[in-house]
Amino acid sequence: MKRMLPLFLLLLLVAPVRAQQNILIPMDLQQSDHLKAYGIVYWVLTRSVEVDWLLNYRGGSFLMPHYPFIEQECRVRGVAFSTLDGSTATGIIAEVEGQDSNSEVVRLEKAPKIAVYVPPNFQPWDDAVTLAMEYAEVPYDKVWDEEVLRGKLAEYDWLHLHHEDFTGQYGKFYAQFGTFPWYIQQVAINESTAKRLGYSKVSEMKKAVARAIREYVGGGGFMFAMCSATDTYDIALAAEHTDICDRMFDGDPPDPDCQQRLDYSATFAFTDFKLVMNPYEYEYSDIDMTPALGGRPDADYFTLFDFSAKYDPVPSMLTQNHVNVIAGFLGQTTAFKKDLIKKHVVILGQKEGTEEVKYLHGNFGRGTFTWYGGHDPEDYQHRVGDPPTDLSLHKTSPGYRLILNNILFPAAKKKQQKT
Amino acid sequence: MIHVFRVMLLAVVFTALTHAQVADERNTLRLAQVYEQAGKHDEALRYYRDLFAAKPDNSAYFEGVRRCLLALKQYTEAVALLGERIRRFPADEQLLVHRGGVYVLMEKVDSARADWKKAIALNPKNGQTYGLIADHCLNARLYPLAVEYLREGREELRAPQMFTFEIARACAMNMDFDGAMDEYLEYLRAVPQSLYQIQQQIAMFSEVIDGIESALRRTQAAVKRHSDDVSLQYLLSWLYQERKQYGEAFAVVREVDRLKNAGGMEVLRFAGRAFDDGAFRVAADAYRWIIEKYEKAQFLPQAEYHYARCMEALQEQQGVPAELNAQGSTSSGSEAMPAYRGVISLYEDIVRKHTSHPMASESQYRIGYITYHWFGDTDGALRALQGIAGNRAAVFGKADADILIGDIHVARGDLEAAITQYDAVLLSPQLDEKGRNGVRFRIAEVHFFQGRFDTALSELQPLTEDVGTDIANDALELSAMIHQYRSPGEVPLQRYAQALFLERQRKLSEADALLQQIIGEYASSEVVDLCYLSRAAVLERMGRHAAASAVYAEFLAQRGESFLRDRGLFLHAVLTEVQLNDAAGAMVLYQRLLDEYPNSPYVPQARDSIVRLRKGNS
Repeated sequence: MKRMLPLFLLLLLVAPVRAQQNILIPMDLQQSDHLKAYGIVYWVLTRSVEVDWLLNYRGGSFLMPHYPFIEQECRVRGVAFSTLDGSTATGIIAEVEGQDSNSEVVRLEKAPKIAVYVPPNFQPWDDAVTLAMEYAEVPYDKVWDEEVLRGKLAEYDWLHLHHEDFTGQYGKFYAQFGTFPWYIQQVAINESTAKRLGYSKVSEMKKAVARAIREYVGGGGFMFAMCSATDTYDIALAAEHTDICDRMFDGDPPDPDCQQRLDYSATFAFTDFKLVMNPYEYEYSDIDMTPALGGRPDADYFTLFDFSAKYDPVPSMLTQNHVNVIAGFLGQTTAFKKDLIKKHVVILGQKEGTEEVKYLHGNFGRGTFTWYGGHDPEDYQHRVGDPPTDLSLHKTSPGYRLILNNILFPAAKKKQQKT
Repeated sequence: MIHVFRVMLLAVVFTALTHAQVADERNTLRLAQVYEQAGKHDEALRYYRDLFAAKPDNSAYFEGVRRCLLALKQYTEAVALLGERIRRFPADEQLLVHRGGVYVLMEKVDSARADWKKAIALNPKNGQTYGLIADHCLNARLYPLAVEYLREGREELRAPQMFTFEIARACAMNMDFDGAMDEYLEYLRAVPQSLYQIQQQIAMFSEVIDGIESALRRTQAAVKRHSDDVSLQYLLSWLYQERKQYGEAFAVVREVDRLKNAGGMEVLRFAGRAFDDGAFRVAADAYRWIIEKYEKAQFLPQAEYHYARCMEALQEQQGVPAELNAQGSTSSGSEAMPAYRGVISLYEDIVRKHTSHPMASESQYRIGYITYHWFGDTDGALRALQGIAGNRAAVFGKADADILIGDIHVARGDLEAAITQYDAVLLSPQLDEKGRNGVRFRIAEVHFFQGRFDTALSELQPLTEDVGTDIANDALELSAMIHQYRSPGEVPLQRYAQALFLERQRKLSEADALLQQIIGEYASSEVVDLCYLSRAAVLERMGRHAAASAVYAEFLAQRGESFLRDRGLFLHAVLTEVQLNDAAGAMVLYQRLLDEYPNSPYVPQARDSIVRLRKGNS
């Protein structure tokens, strides 16, 4: 009995007894709808219930106190869950926190406020992240140049960008779509906005937006970008003091020495990249590794790296998934050339045996950025005018899970670094 | 002799040297062009400069230097180069225009204006000058300036339609949609056949809300000023239809019809489009207008028929249209169904007035259809259809009346007559594959009603093979029911088939009674599950919603082992929501379905219903 007492006391200290029932939302292959599961977690957080994210436990499962309304909502949204009694939950926590396991408990405290940078005439189905959020029923606000330049980003925890073009070259769609009504209208709207906000060129306005976003991230904001919003963002920062746009974009030729005048110290993730100056080429620089002849969907995969959940909780959170090899997908910016990535940036996913980095993460100031190459994880080659992806047919998409990991990550309570 | 030889030698050397020089110059030019095409403007400039220095009068070399200087943004040098050229060729207005273009790139708009003023003064009637100036302004995004010069050119040349599209585009790029529309409208007035072109141009900014509103506003104003201009009216009606404002479009189309002296044809075309787009009220008004105004028109029967179709569609959508309230029908429809009698009387009028016209046949068919489907009057429907069925098939190639007659025989309980009718229809050469499959399914159903399950299955078998057809689902469902429920004994299923047959004959009370009987007599048979659900459906058709709800509740309470429980729960929830208007009760049932049967195929619909009801409550 005397010997049992210290053990008993130890158990009390290590694993707080959970008297009440708990709900476990598994995120391994048992889950019927991974994407809506993130929505449930977000929804629970908005109701002031904290959730434990069990990193590397059954695909990054979620544990929360049991309430009938949560159970009901899981059923309504079609998310698989199980109810656990206190001791089972305690056992799981102990297992996850155990020193021998590469897993960790991260407490999610509050639902982050999310802004998506989209043009006013934007259709949400064209953007993988807003598609995911609409499907997962995660609310978000839309912001555009005017709101960003007026400082509205400070109201948000998380900023998402998709295939935007911060270089002011209208997505380099000129060659293929230069006479199309949507392109012409896009140019007119952008030029009118730039004029109204006091910028002589659209490219100058976009640079100002890029600077404002940098300030936001530096001040502690979280940024997630996909597709061309990744490399064009860094290009815009690097080209602060030079003109890289040809006359069809801004009325005058680019600076002849613009390549030499790029300032790589201003960028977040990329360095030493070479611009593609041809306005008829659908490429911004050599950062992007889109295959020249189109990829092979049956042979295109990238691998997520393993991280120590205890010592690297942030990359662990961002790579939670039920598989670690994920089908690739193309985009205007498909993947990043490894050589051109700054050394301090963490590579989260890469195509094995190649220099193609698909998913990366880094810090800037007090904030962070996570960038993901490609346009739509469930549409290998998404073209302008293609119908939107129906996520109800891809409820367990591992590619889309990576996007949604980023939504919850800002909700995590900062943990003391273990020594 | 030696003298001649010396002269010849000199001539040969001189020619060789000249050739060498020319070849050298050609190669240098080629090199410059290749570098320029490759975007290496600094290299190209070097070679162009050499060429230009050797031959300053050569305009190609001059242009090469000029282009490269601009590409390299060496604007000061470009200005100097052009200045020198202008001094040598003061009468060349294009040089002044180009130098103005460079000033604009240097943001020295005043200097640009001064050069352009001089250029224009050299030859004010040269339209190309104004166009070139505008190009420079457009490149520099100075849209209002481009418009200014284009308008000046137009005035100077006294050519009111000149530069219309350029000015309009510049206005649109500057978000000045009113300006763009004014240009297009003036052009349209002058060149009425350009309507389609103008529509295409407007479509360039019709996605922008300000754009389409401006288009409508300006066109309305233009029509007010020039009400006799047909093209403007056409444009206005097109804009209204783009915005689904059919009422307003109708008013305009009437005016178009009057202006064109079209005798109602314009309105007839418009009415057809409105009907296809589901704007039945406006389509009806349009047809009505034709009927009243053009009593003697050749297309009057079409107008009358389509008017009646509109009334029928409105009836289905919203209940009896006001125009039909006072009308009665000569048809012996059931007095229990006053609705549709007005519609029938419209069709009867057409049949009476246009006996041998194809619209009479169409109208007669609609009478038969409505009489059967809405009145349940099988005798009346047969009388209406039998007179036209043969003619319809032979003359118009339509088997619809024949098939409907077969359906009516089934509804009358005369299954043998139905089989005979369907067999005859199958022989019709006009019947397409889809129609043929529909008839085969009906024959299978008849055999099912008669309890001849093997025959029914053999009729259904070919229909289930091609799962891409519409009828495959129905065929699979009926096949599955027969296979599932015919054992251990066929009697319960035969009785159930009889109940369904009674329901098809609209003998709902008898069907209800028979279903109750089967439930009582064959409690251990799985067919009873079907009987419960069918009984609830019958009671619902009879308007006895509370009774239907009670049957569902009894089914769920009594038939704990049934694999149709999830269907029962779902149908009960729908009844509760739609017929009993009890949203809260419906949500409880939908939620119960999610809780008890999470893998049920009804779960997605249940979820959607919960979300919809929640939104309705918030």
